[in-house]
Amino acid sequence: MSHAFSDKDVQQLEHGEGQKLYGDGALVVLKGMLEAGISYFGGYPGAPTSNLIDAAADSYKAVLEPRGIYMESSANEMSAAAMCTTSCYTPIRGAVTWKVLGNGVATDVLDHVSQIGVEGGTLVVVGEDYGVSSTTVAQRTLPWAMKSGIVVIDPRADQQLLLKLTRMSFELSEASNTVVALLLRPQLSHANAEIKTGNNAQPRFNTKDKIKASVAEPHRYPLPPNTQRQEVERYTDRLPRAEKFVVANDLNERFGSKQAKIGIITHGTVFNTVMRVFAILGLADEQGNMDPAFDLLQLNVINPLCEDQIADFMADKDHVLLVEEGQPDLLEKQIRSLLHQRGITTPFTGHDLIPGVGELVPGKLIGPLSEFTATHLPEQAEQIKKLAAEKIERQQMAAKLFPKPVTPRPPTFCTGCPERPVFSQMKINEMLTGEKDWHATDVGCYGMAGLAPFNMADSNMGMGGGLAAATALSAMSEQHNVSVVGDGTLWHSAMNTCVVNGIYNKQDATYVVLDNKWTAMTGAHENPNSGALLTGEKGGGDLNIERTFKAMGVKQVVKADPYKFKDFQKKLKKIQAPKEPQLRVIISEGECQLQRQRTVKPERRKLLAAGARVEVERLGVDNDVCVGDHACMRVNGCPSLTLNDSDNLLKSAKVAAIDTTCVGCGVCGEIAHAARLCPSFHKVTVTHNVFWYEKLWGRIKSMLIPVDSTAVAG
Amino acid sequence: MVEHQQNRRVRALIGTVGGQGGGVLSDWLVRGLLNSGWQAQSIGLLGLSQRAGSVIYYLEASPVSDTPPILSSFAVPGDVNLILAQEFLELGRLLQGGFAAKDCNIVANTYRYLGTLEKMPAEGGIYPIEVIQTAAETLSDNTWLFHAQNMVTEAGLSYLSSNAILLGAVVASPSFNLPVEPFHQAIKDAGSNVGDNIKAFDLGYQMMSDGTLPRAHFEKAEVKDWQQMADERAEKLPKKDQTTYRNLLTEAQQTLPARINQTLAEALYQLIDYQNEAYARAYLEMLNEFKADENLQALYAQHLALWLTYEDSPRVAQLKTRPSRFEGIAKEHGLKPGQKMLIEDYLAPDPQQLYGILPPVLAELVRNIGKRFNSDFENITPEMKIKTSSIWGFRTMAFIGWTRRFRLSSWRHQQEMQQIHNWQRGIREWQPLGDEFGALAADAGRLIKGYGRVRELALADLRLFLDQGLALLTEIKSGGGDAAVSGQKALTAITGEAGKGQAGIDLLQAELASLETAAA
Repeated sequence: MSHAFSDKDVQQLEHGEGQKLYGDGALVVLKGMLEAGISYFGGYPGAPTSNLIDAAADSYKAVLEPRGIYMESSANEMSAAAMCTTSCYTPIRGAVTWKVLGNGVATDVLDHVSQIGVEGGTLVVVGEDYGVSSTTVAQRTLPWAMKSGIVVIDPRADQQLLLKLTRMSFELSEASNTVVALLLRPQLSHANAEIKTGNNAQPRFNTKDKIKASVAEPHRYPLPPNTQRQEVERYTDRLPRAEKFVVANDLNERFGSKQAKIGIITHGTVFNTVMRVFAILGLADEQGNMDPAFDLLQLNVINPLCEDQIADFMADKDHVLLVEEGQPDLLEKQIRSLLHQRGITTPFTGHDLIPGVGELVPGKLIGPLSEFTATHLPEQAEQIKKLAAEKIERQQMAAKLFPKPVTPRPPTFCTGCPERPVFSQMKINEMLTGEKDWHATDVGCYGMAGLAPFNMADSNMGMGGGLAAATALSAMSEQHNVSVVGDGTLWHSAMNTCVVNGIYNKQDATYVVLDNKWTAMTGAHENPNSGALLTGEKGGGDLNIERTFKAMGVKQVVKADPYKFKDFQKKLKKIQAPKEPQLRVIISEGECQLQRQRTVKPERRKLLAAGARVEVERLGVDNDVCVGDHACMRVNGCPSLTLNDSDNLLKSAKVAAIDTTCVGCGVCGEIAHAARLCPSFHKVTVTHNVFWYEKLWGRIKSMLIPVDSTAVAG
Repeated sequence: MVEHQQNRRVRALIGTVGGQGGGVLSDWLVRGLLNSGWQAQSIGLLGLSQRAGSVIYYLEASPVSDTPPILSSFAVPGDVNLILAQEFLELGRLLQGGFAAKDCNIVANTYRYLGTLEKMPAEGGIYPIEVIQTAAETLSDNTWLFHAQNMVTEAGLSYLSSNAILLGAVVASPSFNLPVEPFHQAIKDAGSNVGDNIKAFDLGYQMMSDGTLPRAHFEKAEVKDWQQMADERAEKLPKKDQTTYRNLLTEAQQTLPARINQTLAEALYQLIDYQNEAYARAYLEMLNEFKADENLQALYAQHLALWLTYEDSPRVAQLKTRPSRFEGIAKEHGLKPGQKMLIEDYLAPDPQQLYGILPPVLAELVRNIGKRFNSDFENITPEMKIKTSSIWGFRTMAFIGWTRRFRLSSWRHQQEMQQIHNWQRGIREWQPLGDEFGALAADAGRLIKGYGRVRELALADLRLFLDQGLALLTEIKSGGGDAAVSGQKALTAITGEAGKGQAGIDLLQAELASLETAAA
């Protein structure tokens, strides 16, 4: 099944020299990898690089497989990192990807790969997301990469440059025998643009043209004394070679005038923001031409820092400003130490002017950059300040127009989602009994239970750590411990981190497994539970969750249908009142509705076109029965359950209504039952192409009761 | 200084709601621009695109030049010269961010897709659109605000082609003013719903080009005068009741102030429909008690009528078995010849809803026996799904509806009247202390909504407000505060969610405390 890319999108990956490609940053990166001739690819999906997994999976049949490229649906980031070992012992190029938090999951293994060093170009595409536009903590890859001796490419936002840097990252990796991390920020990954392509390279070794035999190299085994030698090599030989390669190939760029006395140093996409603010202040045009008073050094490679290049840049400047985003500000610390070591006295400004913490969005830079430039260009100061003030005043003016802040619109579970009813039921129980459980949730769609209307995630501590986050609490709190996990996260790491840990340590808790057959949060990816690989091919083995729990010795494991409240509630209550303190599991089975509808809708269309008898269910609300208390809204949150004006003028509130996007899951009605709300909800089943006897019966019925239940009049 | 070559450079923000096709819309625009020989790039943040959260796209575009421009990944405050909003609250969000430049063109859909946080409070949760409209018109001289969904459906096109009409309007707007073909091509390449999308695109393009696209058009709920309303309501009643209704309305209007004409037209209809003429007359008599204060009386008239038509099981059954209900549902679901419709009602009557129909003596008997068997008797709610479109289901419901003729001697009615009397007594007691107190006591009647458990909570909220809330308000007044304003604030807090009575009281106590601190 295609994830996010059409056949047309994918075909562009075959384009050669001088042709064009239109797509997002992920497609561009994949194209760069193909141009570099990778032999393997893997990773774990997570924003902002889950689209790279999509691109590889969707192009597998047409592009990757014919070239003999091995694609792995890695169980987690550590599996992906381990695959990079291939490049340690062979001249094979390969790439893996994960979101920034995956760095931590992969570290143990990747540290070994990095220590040993690589022969074949090895690229880790990291979804850097310091602005936190997805479920992550605010975190930079730089400190992690520095301590692991990994080269870091942090490209400015330019899709053409992104293609070039992806391709060259393999050369850089081989020139320095070092693992390279490419930071694919959402600003690059989610940008759609057109680029000019180059030719693809056929990998020498691949699944068709195989290596005869791998060469064993005992001297590279990561144990002392090899380890100490490798460590020396890494810092005295390999990383310095990387530095030379970066300078020799101009991977860092210069803008403005080299003779200028005011220097600016930028990195990553901060460059684009700085250039735009300069343009606004009248100090650059939008083509990148700067006022001749400035010389700008853009670091597209931030580890290792090219010390000679920076020292040269600073030598004859009157003042240099570093615009570095976030903490730890290792660029600034390193540059300051460099100045000290080399006795360079050029005045230097960094986080003493530029905000030191958080994403550097334009609004945060207009002030500091106008201040800096106005100070150093006194004759233009007035004009610079005026231009900056214009923008700031517009912002202030707008803020004043909204005395009441615009209501936030947090994301919510999709229409008909099988996970929502689980939280609805727990919320209703909480409401009716007044008892609050401790909800140690995990990473997945169900993390949204922490948002309105449920607000039911007490902790959410990283992928696969949900239940384990509450072990000590389970032992010490009188509150009941309920932890929720999805099938994707369970197989990613929770099976060991939480389940083994919980069983072994006799944790007293209820574990709710939301089995929706997909890793849904990332935009629907296959996982061991789906029975298929990311490429759509059938997966190996039979990784059945229920049987696994039983085999592990969990005594209470029950399956329940989340759409059937009565049965689900009964099972949930039973499992929450255990005979002995132990880990108890309830598996809520219901396929991701988004994925389900992707098959249900076309099938239904086909049947309707063929004139077959088809039943379509949808729920509704009786406008005059609903009193407008909105109690249902506070335990439901379905996008299709909305509000409408009441037909009765006396009612001061809007009443509930269900729009046409309803998929008929029935949860609205079940909620009305379970929460003892109201009789306003009804289910309507419309049968298309009814049989002749149904028509006849409809006619008879319409004579007995005034219900137009078969529209046979026509 | 550096000379800018930024004529025709477009920096645009596109505000969308996840799952509503915002990605397709921005993709059409970028691809169309590339087809037109422009350079263009769009960036979409956040990644949770299917899940009904805010998703914002930022686009930069310009006619091709020799040196490709350096694009910004972020919109700069005060620097965006085109805002396209797929939904009106999302326009508000972008405007609030201060992104609009002085020369910003604003093309926005006035369609409202309510967010969870807006739907949760019973009242007052929906963001006022006037604020957004004023902001748009203050920040820009070039606004086009219209309901895209309504415009495409009025043109006989699919509801889903609303994004295409927005695209057409933007392409023809002064921001671009480009020929149509490259964008037709983009729509064709995207491949979904091509026919309608191209027609909708052309419609938007044409209307923007010939100046017929509304600058600010809001579909306001039609405000009907009381006569029109009365005609419509009369139509809904059986023939014999129509004259009764009209006569009673005319009669009532002779003694009651004209400002409550609309309330009366609705109230008398509801009451006659609910019970009978005598019941409606009893209501009119109750109104007389507070004729001295017209403001109070108006609030009282509205909330009393609603309370008197409380939803007991006969009422629900009556509403659920109306022929007009089935016609309405058939229409809503687009029922066509050769199709069958089955309606299943989810009912969860608590025991009160069931034994409440009985006369008090019998009801108490049932209650006592029930409690003997199960101490939690009052909380047993049989969950029923009744197929109201079946003969058996319909007849059962119709029978329950029929029992309304015994309503006035039922246990439930006795209970409700008792509660109404308590409320009336509250108004009576507070009114002499000042007009604002009487009005607040009357307005507190709007707290009463809900069934079963929710209604119990609401009744408790009302009691709390009448007993403690108003007492606190008198102290606030003597402390120099504005009781009317504070009282409305407290009522708004309580109305949001049944059971939040204490929150309203806390609010008043805090207000009082701050007044006392200020005085000290």
